[in-house]
Amino acid sequence: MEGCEAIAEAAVRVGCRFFAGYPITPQTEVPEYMSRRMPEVGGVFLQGESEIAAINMVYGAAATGTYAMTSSSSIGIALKTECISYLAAAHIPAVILNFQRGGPGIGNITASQSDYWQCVKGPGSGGHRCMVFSPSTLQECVDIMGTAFERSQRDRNPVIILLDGCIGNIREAVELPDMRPAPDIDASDWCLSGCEGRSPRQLLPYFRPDPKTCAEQACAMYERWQKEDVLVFEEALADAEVVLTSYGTAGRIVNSCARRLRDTGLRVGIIRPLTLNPFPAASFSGLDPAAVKLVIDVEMTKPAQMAEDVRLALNGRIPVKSLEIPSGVLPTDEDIYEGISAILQGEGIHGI
Amino acid sequence: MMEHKILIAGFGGQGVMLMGQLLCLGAFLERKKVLMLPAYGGEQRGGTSNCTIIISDEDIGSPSVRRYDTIVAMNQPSFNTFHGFLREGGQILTNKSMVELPEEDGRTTAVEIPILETAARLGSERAANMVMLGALTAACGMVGKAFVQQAVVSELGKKRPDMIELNLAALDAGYSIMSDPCPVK
Repeated sequence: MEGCEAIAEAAVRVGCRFFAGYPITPQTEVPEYMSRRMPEVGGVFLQGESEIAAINMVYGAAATGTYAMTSSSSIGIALKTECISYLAAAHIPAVILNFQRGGPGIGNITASQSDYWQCVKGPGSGGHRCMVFSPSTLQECVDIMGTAFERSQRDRNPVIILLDGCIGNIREAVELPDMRPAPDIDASDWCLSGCEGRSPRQLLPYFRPDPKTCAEQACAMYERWQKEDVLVFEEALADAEVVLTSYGTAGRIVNSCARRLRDTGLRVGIIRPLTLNPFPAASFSGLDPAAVKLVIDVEMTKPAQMAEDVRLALNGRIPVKSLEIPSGVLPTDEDIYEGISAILQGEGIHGI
Repeated sequence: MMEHKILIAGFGGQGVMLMGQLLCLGAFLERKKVLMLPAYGGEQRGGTSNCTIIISDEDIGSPSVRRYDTIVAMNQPSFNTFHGFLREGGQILTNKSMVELPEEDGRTTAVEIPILETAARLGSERAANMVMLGALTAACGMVGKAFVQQAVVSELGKKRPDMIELNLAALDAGYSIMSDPCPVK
């Protein structure tokens, strides 16, 4: 299946029944697919007059307890951040797909990873945070969809799935989740469902009666994510002398390069975050500085962004070098292999 | 590790994406790892159209390819644009009636496939892309002919059951052309 269609179908199968979108390459196939699929499952598809309209429609639909989703790309997500902040303030769940394109500005439509800071650090004003997933393959995208909706509903907080134009456009074989009859999360204690027999509810992004309590509850949630919700792919860390780290499309390329590097005799480990927030800091802090000489961070953006969190987690115990592929360039296996080899040679670690 | 990187290029309407999808489905049926990255212009018919296909025994890395093992050029602009992306020792299959090969450069191995003539002889020029798919299946050697036949039957049989015999015959003919001992220019 094509990436956008597989991801959209997975969302439908795990219970998404409202989708509002607005066209922008490289994700237009998601709203296109949803426009014919939603009516088939009794859901609603709406095309907004803008990205901002679309996510505000999601705000309204999700307030009724419906699994709701929107998607866009980089600059479109920038427009949506206003309402993502509103969702967080009003405690309304939603799933937001970001098919990253090259940037800054309008950029280009080639795959990129330049929105790490945008989505992980500041998805809107006001200092709130979103859980951010970062699948590498189409199968991982499909597998993660149920977890994304469940956690968004559980926390009543927006979730972002950080993708790119490559994942959206490739065709791969995928095993889709089974069709769930209906979302099994009970939202009746908070959602807007008609107030007959009870007092009216409001889900507003302002007039917080007690800012201190709200802030403390949010922080407690973020801390709980860090303890309980980290997802990470780790490989061959036990005897690694060099550890490669990356996410998304860069992650699948790094996996392939690690095999080639191991063929040269280098002991290569991999830490590939599947959640960028919460970040798998413990995977890095658990590395043994006596064994691991170097961590190489590979990102499709320049300057590197995730590298800051890698350095924070390592706290100076192991050196970190970044291989930075400029935003809007989809690297080949050879580009990444040669880039990593050059870093290793520069550090005097391994002659390839 | 066995991995084969293929580019199929032509213009919209020549069945470039269909060839790619059928080869991928054949590879999937044979339980290979397979990835396809399509690229095309705004037009469905007449615009540029190409797709990258990677078939492998192991997990596939980047969909972006520096050098291809096999390139299919369905028209002259595709040949001109992409023949430089062939790896040393790789092979280009061309649509004989639409691609004029340059003077021998000693580097590019091009095989001219008379897809239009072959398809016309079998009953309809519309099956020309199936002739090329057969030739490509033989050239890449990563997918058994039987699996590509199965893909053709399952994908095209539903839409045009009346055309299935022609499509399979065209596939077979293309496969046989590549089995000819001396088609190399």
